[in-house]
Amino acid sequence: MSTPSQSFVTPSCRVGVRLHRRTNLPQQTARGLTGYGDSREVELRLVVCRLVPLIPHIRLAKTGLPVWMLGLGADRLRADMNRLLAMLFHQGVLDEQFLQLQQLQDESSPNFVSEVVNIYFHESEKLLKNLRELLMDREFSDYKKMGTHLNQFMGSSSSIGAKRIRNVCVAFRAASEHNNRAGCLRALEVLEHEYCYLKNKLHELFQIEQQRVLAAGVRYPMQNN
Amino acid sequence: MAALQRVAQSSVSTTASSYGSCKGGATSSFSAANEMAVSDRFPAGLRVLVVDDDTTCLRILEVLLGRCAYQVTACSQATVALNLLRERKGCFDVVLSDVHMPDMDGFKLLEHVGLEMDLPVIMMSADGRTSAVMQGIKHGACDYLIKPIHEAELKNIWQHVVRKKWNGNKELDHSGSLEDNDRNKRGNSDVEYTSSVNEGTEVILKGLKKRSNAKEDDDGDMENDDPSTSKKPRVVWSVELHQQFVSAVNQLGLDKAVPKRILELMNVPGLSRENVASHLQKFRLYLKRLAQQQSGISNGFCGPVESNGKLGSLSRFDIQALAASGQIPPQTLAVLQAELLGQPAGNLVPAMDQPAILHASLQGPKRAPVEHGVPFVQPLIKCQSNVSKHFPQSIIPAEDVSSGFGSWRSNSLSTVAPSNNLGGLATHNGSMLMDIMQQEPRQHKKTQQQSVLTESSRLINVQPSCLVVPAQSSTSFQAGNSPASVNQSCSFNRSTVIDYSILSAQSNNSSLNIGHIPTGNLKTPSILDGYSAPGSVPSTSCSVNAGNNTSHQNSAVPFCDSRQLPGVLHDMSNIQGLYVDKSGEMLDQGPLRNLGFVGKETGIPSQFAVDDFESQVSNLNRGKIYVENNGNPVKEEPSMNLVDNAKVGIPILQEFSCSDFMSVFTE
Repeated sequence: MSTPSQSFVTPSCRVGVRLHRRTNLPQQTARGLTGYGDSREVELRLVVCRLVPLIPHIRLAKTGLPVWMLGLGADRLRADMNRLLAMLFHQGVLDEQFLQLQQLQDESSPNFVSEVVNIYFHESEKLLKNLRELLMDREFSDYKKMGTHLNQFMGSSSSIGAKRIRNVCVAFRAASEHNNRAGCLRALEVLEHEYCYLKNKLHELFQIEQQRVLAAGVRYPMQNN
Repeated sequence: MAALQRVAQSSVSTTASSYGSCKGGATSSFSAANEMAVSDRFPAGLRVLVVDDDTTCLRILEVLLGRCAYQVTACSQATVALNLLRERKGCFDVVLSDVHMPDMDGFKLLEHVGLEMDLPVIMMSADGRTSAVMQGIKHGACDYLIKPIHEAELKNIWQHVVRKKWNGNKELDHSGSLEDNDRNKRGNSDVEYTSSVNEGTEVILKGLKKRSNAKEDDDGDMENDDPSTSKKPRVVWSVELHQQFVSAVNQLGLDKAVPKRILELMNVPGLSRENVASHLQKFRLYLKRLAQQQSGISNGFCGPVESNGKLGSLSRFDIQALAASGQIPPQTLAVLQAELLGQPAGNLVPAMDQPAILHASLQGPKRAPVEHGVPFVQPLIKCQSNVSKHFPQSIIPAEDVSSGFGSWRSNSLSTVAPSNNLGGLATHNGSMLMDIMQQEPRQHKKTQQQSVLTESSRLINVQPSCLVVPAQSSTSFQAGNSPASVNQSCSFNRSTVIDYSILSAQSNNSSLNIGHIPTGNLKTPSILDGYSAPGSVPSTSCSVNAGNNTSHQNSAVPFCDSRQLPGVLHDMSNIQGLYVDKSGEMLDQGPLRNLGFVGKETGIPSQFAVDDFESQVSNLNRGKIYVENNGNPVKEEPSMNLVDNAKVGIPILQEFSCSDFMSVFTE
């Protein structure tokens, strides 16, 4: 390709898609674009296609565009979201408290869930770091302090609806009350693993949600696309 | 008001409305506003203060409570919350607090709130184990919620507000029904019983006692202490009346004091035995409370008298509060002295006993029976000569403290009351102060040599200030004190105030050499701040301390005095009108400027240290705002940062807003 392709990456999942010469867009897309002949549209899609691949969990249509852009994906995205949520519930990662959070989201607090979850991530990372530092310390003996951190982590996790994390915290607390350092370390490992898993899944959930919202808002003029 | 406004602005936007309502509430009478606000739109509009250091939970609770149609104020630091509560008395109906917080234990906050403001406090924690819940109940929490908290649980918290209110009313009725001589003979045991019952249900008890006192003070004219539903005109236990009562009691001996005999001795027309009986009951409870407080208290500030010595240590919180009044004391004392001198000699002596009793009770063993008050009278009488040296000091600080509460001119009065409350909790301070206040202007015109006096006399007029200070300090100090004692103290305060004034006037001692200057509680000024109406009060209290040459000496006294504030607090309802009137004046008071500055000697936190009255006020406001801002940013930043951090990819997408995208296609 003549155009420098280092600036963006073609969708890795679209191996074998033939790219348009000038725009480096998939040929099918470019064909559609040139059908309109609108340079702005091309530019826009260009930018989109550059950036979209950077974001995981974006459903892409055959043309390489995110599904939501096509204005057809709102239902599909909602289905995706529900499927993900159901899986998380089934696994016990989340519980009803998360549903309650979702119900609190409305016009007055439109991004409530993601806002709260982000606060939770921020605070939890600090707590986990503190816990790790405490336990890594050779002369560690301040179980009480650890208990305080743990208590806060447990409180916020249960308020979010992170059931599995909360359960691990309970086990962690039991170990700490018995001054069982090894047990605490093990529990911390599990905790960190669970936390990472939850964080990834929730990120994914929010991504889908974002796309869904966008898809629901997209209105295309009549076209033969 | 400016302080309130600024605080309001610094608050979280979602709680702006609650602040607005608090501002409005502050300008009207406290109790009336409180009750009206509660009853008008129940349960919607319930004003909730939620305190939690965990930002996640705080945010969730904020929204959840908003869903319940409550007015929410969120706070992430307990100290900030406490200041908020103190500043805006009557602006909150219920407090939700987390148990484990870094700056202050949730249970300590619970005790403070219960003692000072008598609001229902609901604890929350992730720890739902029985032992933890038991702890909560023991400390007197209205309820204990286990995280995660559901909306249904929050929808029900209004019941605690209502329950407390109704129990308070019921208690008022019951206290008035105690009449019989025989019953009074068993009065002690009855009192003991009710006290023990109260101890068992701490929170409710506190609510009952405080409510009953508040109610008594509230209804200026109506009294319902008659078990029959006939409405008698309410008896206001003025200072003189209380002095007469106390003298009668002392004459009879505390053990033998029965309402009938007391009534005969007092020989006051229009006073019924029922009135005396209920007053006696409160008196006894107050003494009991003093006795409890006595235990565990180290040296007081009055060296010669053991009881005096204990006072100083007791009221380290009070002292701080009263420290502000450092400058005023001589004036206040002089005023009080002059006033008291006008009183019959007979009253004077018994009145003197009051401080003795107070001191004695302060020092007695923890659960010393009420009767101990009687023997203590003797020692005090002996050291009356010394008392003159000490009491004035105590009075002065009290007055200073009251002056600290700028909005209430009657600072001097309030300080006086607290001083009398050495170890006691004045509940009827308000009425007493009122009397003193009325007399003061007359008095202080005469004595010119005591410019301070004039100031103090002016200050004395505000009851609430004195009420506030003792309550705060005492509450902080006497975490476990039952409200009953608080209620009892009012009568004491009145008499003691008078006594002190007499002593102070006599001694005309400007050097308050308080033997013990507790390094005490740096928080007291903040406590004071909390109580004072618009920020000026705290500043004045601080300033009073510094300004006085003998401020360091005064500091000790304030401690003693302020202890009695909790009870006084409830009398605030009496003075509401006063408070309202005076609130605007405080800042302009010239005499207040003489109050001097925050006692650096007392080590008040820098944010409260002030150089000038005005600057004090402004500093105070700033300090408050600063403090408040500390809380708020903590609460708000995480969300902002997290949002930015987390949405790495999304913003890019979001740039292509629908409108932008669509505009391309629609053209």
